[in-house]
Amino acid sequence: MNFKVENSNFLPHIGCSIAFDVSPGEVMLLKGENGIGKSSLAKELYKTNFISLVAQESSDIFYDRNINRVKKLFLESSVKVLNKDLFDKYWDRFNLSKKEDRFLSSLSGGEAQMLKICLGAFLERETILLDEPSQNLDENMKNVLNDLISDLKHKAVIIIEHDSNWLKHPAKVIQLTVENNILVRES
Amino acid sequence: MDYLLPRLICSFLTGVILSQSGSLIQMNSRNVLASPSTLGFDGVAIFWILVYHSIMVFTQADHPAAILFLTGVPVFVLFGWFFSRFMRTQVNISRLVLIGLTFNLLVGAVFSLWQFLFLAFNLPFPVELWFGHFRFAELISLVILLATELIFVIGWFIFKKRFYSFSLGKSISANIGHDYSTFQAFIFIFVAIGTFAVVSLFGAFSFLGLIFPLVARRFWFRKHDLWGELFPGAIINGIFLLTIDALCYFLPIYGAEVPVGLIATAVGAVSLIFLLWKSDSHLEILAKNQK
Repeated sequence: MNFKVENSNFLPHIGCSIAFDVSPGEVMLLKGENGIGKSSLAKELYKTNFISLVAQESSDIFYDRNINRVKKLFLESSVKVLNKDLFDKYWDRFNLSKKEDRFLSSLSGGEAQMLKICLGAFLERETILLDEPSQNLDENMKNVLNDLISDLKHKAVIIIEHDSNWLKHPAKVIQLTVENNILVRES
Repeated sequence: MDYLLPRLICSFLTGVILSQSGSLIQMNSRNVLASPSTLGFDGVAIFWILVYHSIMVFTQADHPAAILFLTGVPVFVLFGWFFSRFMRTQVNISRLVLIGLTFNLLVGAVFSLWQFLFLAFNLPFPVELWFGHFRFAELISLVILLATELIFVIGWFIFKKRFYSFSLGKSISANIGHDYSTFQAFIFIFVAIGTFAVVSLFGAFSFLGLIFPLVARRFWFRKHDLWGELFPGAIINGIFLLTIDALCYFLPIYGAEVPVGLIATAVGAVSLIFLLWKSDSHLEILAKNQK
């Protein structure tokens, strides 16, 4: 998979010139300081390519439902594009099956993160884009996240993260930086 | 009675349509302050009707409400479509709401000026446009409202899955891979036509499209969230508006009927102030159910 971003509406104040390749089964890690536009880059990649995104921002679900209802709606609408086995496996491993009565507004940051990962990572896309997937997760859950990344073995996985010490899976690293007001790969 | 029954059904359907329009806009923008009136849809409809009315007065043509509605439909289909395209860009909804409210104020000023000029020249002017009422409801109004509601019901069945996946959030729904451009165009075209139908037939009911969805969302059908809000919730709001209209009809003050729109705007404006006051830190509030 070839990705190329030349300027983006999501990055109105700086330019952008980034290109990279990821092949299936490979993990690509995009690193960079806070605030240089990593998440905006993620949105741009997501907008222009057929990939699945686990976004960094808090979920944009408008209706305050319980988790069980969210799961049901999600399964109904994604029935053709979901790897159900992986979804079920990580729904359990992230302990979401025990929390199905809980309402979205009552979830902690970590719980919401696990829910978002489950709703985004197992769709049948060639590329899965994880934007700061480890945020708010404790050590145990970071281990589960590592297993999850290993389980996505036939996919190209792009991870955007400024602190990647938790990641055990071997990954190609691209360091992002801003040069002359343009977001580029560090040479 | 021949006159009262269509009138009451009209007020009921108006409540239903305003409630559904507000729900759709709030779902789409994920902001409880967004509604047909706060985004300026009401203002655009009133402005269009003023222009139409002036042309009719100066050409001395007859203008029944149904013709006014039919001539406006293409314009408002286009307006809804453009708005849906616009909403797909990066828009700050709170800012858009401020612009919409300011635009409504501007239309209010134009309205007053226009009224002043028309009365000065002894020309007829649709004074009652600003505060809607159902005094002139007739069979054809009922047909127009039913047709508008039918558009929504058909759309619900066509896009049912998208309604649900969209309500899961933009990123999740886009991950699933549905194409939302048609769905969003449908939403805004329905809202534009619904608002225009109501304003052109009965006048403006400001803020009802904002308050009704909030009311509908707080009812007891938690398990049927979206469906509950769009159908039983909207029906309850319709009955609510019907009741107010019946009260206005049966309890005239000194022989004159209070316009329903006046009551609606007063209640709506107070609720909006209350809402803004309560939600100063989070304008994009999650639509919370009662626990």
